[in-house]
Amino acid sequence: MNDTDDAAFASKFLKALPTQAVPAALEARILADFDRLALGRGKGWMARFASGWSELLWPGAPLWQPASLLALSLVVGLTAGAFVPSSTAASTDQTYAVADTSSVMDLYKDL
Amino acid sequence: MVSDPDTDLVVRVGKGDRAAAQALMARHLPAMLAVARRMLSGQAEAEDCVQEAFLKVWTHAARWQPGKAKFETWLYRVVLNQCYDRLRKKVPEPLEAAADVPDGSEAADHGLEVADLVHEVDAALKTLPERQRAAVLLCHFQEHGNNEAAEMLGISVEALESLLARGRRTLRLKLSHLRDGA
Repeated sequence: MNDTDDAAFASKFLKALPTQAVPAALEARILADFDRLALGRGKGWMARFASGWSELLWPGAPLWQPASLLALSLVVGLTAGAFVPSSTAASTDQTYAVADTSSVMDLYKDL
Repeated sequence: MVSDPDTDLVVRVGKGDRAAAQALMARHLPAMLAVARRMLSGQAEAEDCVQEAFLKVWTHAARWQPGKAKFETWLYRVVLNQCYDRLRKKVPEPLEAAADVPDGSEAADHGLEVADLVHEVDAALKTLPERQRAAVLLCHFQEHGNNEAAEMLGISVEALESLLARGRRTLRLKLSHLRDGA
């Protein structure tokens, strides 16, 4: 039994192994990976940045969903800021009112 | 400078050419899947391995430097490394496959069906250490030359020949009962 015999033996049996067909689903998955990457490459850096964040915040959702939610929350926030009376503003006025009074206390005023 | 029939396709893939990607895949996917199937135990695992390898191709194609290495060699190396990673992560299976290999003349007497033969050769292959298995598959299943296979494995030709000699010897011992039946 020498190496040449071993090689002939291995070739005889391994060449007899059938090669199965490639499943169409696998080809489709591999090409889908290519399409996804090509789509990413075609975008500008702004779009890539936006979609990167979108994917991080809301994985799998189309870009318009997180973008519209962000826009809506911005509108609600600005509207509230412009029209809802602020209790903080009133208390600031009071602070000024207090500050306007003399800081010198007249201990003998009520006597 | 290495002459490579895939250079044009890889460059086009790097530019986002889908037809080139399809052609490159059609050219190499069958061989890569065949090796991954024989290296790993399951069909699904082999498919995942090859899919990951092609994802690497799509990602790196734009940075591919023609003439530096042969694309096919690089792709084999990626697939084999994926296989090694998966085999190392796996909990070692009991060598049922090895136990399945019949030891004697009964099978030879009755003659083996093709499916049985495939099963036995596969089982014997699975008992080989991963690098011996890869070497034997590249040289005897896919019929690559020693220089080419050594490059694919990232080792010297002498190291490949040593792997081959040990792998073939083990294979012959495991399958010795098939000598007359096949």
